[in-house]
Amino acid sequence: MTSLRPGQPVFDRLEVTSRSTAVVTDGASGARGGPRARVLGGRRQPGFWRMRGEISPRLNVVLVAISLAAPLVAWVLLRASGLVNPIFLPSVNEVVHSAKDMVTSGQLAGDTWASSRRVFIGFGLAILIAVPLGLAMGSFRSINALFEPVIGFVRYMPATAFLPLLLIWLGLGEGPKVALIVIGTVFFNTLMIANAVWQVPSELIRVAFTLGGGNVSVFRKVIFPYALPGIIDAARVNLAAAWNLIVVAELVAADNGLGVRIFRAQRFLRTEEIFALLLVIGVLGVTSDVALRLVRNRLSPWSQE
Amino acid sequence: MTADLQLRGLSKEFRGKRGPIVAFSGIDLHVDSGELVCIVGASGCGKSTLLNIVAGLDTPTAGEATLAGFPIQGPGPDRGIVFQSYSLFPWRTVAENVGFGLELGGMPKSEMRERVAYYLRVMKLEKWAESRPGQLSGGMRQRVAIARSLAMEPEVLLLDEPFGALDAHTRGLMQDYLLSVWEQTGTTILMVTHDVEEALFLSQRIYVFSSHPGRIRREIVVPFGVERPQTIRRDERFLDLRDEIHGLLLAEAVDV
Repeated sequence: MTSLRPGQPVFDRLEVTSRSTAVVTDGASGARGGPRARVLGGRRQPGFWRMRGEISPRLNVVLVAISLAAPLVAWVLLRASGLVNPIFLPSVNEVVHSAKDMVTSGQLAGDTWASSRRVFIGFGLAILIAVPLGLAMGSFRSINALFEPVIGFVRYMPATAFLPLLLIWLGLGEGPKVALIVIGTVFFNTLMIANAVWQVPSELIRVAFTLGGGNVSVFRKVIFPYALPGIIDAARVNLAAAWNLIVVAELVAADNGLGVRIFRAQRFLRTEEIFALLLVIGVLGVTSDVALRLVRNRLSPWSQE
Repeated sequence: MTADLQLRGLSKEFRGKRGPIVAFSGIDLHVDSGELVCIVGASGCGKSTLLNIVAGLDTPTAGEATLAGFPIQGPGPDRGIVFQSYSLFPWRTVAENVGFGLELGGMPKSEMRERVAYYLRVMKLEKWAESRPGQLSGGMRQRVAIARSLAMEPEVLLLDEPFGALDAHTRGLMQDYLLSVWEQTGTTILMVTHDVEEALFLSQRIYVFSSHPGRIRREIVVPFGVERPQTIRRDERFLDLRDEIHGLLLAEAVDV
């Protein structure tokens, strides 16, 4: 057995002992001798299943690669197997070609711009409403009591069910599409922002008041900076919903946009085009998410400490 | 400038599901100018609520709190408070935290820099001026919180179990700090703690509170001078008083 040398780092010693006990309890190599050591605490979980444990950088890279490659491989294999009608499942090649065609014809840029613009305006309006309202709800029980019940009720109504109404009220132009995104995201944004504001410790606010703060200065110098990373995170979550809604709105009534293109491709059974458009929307979503995350880290570097 | 703090017939009730809950009632106490007074009591004696009322962050149900004869209505920079939970602004550096109140008060930049530097020196934080709270230990964070309150040069400093979250060793060091700061600045200090020895080591007078509802059980004058080496903890009078206060608090605990 190993002896414990003084001055040897404790961690090393632990490593050595646990390795040697593992050998002994193994049973097969019991001939090596040594006293049968007791093992405390049951089985040690490997890195993969250690709850809240660290994983090695190598394992991390492998898992990320699997996460991205597995769906692609499954797609290629499924297509190659011939089990699925090629009309239902296009090949990777066909999708890439279709994407290239859309890019060179300038059609993709136009549609992407049309959809992005609607998302940008609709979601921007929702944020413009949700940030001040959420800040007020998270800071004053009075304002919260005034708005929380009605918002909690309305947010359960599916936003898409408002679309027929919006078409009747606002016609066929940009109005109903933007309005749908506002309705579909403003309530969740407000509640999530209010929640982020409730996370500001009361004692921090109280201290600020004893240091000479008033409502306005505590808002500006304590509540807003503390809640800012939470506000941006709320926006990141709800931006995905905005992309969801714009496609629905465009499927129903529009003459340009990525949703329209998907709808038309369906009529001509051009599944490869649908695939390409879905990928484009995914890339747009991830890009905006990463951008917002960078903004958050830039504005509130302390929140990652 | 410091002034004396007076509480007369102070009571506080909270609305509970089955009628009002009395946090404390009929509290009469005073803290003279420049004095360091501790309130000791088990949890549930409403001592934190009492401190919040003095800070102006809460209102009493009955009675009155006055500072230099003026009734306390709301929070203000004349009464600084330090909570157990540090309560620092995590996006501000140590120096910016200490200067927070001065900035709100619109103090000119150069004067502010001087004042902040002075209190960083008093709390031995010069080296950490540009660090953020997330990088500091618990003891250092609490020193920043105290420096931030002191920078306002308040008439009364209110401390709500300020060292409760610290390990025993750090707590001892912080108590020494607090005594030396109190000597240097002459600030009136009212501190709440459940640590009997801490109260004896630091204060000139102690109010022992009973719980449910909170009342003043006894007022104890601590018979030690301003100079307090750690060795007074082994002084016979220290030990006798400690046992006496523990006895008072224990008599309470039996009812629980």
